[in-house]
Amino acid sequence: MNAFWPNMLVAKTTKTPLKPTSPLPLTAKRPASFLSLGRRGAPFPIPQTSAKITQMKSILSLPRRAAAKLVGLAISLLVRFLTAVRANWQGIEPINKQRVYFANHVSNADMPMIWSCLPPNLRRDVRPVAAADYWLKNKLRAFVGPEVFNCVLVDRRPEARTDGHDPMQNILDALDAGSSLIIFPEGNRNMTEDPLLPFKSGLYNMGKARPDVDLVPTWIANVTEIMPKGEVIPLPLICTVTFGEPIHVGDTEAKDDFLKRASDALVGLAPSQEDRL
Amino acid sequence: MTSTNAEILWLAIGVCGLMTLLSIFGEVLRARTDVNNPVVETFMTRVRSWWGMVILFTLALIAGKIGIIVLFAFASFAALREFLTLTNKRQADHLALALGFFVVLPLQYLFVGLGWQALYTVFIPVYAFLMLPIVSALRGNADRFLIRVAETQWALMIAVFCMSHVPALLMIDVEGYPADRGILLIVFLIMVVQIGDLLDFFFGRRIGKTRIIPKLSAKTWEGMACGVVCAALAGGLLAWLTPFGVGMAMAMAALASTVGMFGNLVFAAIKRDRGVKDWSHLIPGQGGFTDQLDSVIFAAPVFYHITHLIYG
Repeated sequence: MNAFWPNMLVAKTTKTPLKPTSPLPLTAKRPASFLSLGRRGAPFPIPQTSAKITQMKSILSLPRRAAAKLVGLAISLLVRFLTAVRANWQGIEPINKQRVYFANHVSNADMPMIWSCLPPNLRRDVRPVAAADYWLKNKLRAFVGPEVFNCVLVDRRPEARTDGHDPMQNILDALDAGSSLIIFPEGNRNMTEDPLLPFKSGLYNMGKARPDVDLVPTWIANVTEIMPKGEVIPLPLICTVTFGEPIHVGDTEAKDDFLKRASDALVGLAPSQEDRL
Repeated sequence: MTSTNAEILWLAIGVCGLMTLLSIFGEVLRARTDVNNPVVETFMTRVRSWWGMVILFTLALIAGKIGIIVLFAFASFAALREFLTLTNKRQADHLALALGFFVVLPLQYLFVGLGWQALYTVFIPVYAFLMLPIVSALRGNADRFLIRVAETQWALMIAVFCMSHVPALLMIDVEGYPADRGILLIVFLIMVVQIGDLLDFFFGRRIGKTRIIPKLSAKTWEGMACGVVCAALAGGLLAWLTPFGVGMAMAMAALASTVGMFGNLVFAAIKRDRGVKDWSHLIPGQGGFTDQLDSVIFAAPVFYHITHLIYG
């Protein structure tokens, strides 16, 4: 039952013709629908499995979807108003191609920032990879994370993983469904003075498993000044998100070599601070 | 309809007519040249941005005093954001900067709106300039303290204090000049300064030879002279908007335009210092709000105080 109800929505939504916004043919098939993917990708069966609740959910699903869209729009407008976030398409064009955007991570605002500066047709197909322990903490987050941002939730804590939850499998499933991803390969927020923490191996694993997907380094500048750790009020400074040239895992490339190369490509996008004292 | 409203309507029609001519001119150029000629496309982007600004400004004029104050408060916010993005700061300044954005800026425009002249002319240079460094100093980080404080204060001075003198023109009381016509004085200031800038650019490209500061900007003495003369002529033609006579209107226009052009040079120096070409990318084809308004920002306080001195 639980797996079934979203399919009714799928039947409706897949018929909508593809929008001819992209000058290139889409390289991957589109995700069938916003919600069905949200469900399939969610690693945790949301703990209400009784048939009654499921039924209620399916009645509520349409307003819920609309609400998710609206909240998404509100978040992107707020982020744009506060930080005037600007996308700098240095190494790629803003076209609908399957990509993994990997970015530096210094604050909780990073993901909404990248998400907001993507054009709407790209935003629809992009799914941030996010920590389940954060996004399922309360009902509000469980709505915003999985439904508004359509996150791929993964559990960072091996000991807390339920049986059959394999984070990499969730990510690969999302890629196979045609979604683009946003990931933070450092695994955690960078609280140090260094530009980047050492990358975890996830980026290498997905680049190895799905070699056709472009891995795009994505540098978010200025977020530390907008909201330094420990501060409550964000400063409305201008933030830039720079997209660099895509990289791929080489055929014979070792894991550490690749991760080093990816990390260098990302740091290389950081604007120089020479003009500051 | 009051006479002021009728005049706003006529002005809007006039400016829209001018903009339509520019749009048609651009379309003709587009049809004549190759597809995607970058110069033509830049011109068209600018014309579109101008259209947006004209429409916004006209709406604010129609909304009256509150509309103008809100519009300039937002312009201040955008300019302050562009400015502070480029300045030196430490985490110790976070609260002071947040106060600048969310307390000082709204208060300044509130004082302007209430017409408390004794307060809005000193609030930032006295109270904000003394209080914000205290807030920063209390956090205890002395690293580059003077530079941080000075840069923050200049940002507030330029983006908030100077900018707020445009709507402050509403509050000047001139004998025999009805209070609701203050709005037209703002139109006068912005139009003469912008016309001066536009023609300075145009003549500078055509006949400009001697650069004023070769290392800093492409501005030339010839272009500037032509721009100021054109601004004065425009000021004479628009004298009916102001409490001034024709001669005085021309002199005020020339003064505002000259100050504005030198202000433009100051901003060029700041941008050069910080290694940026534009303040931001918020207005397509024009750079940032500060790029668009730099000369008005410099001209406004001078224009305000001289008007106040002579007529107030």
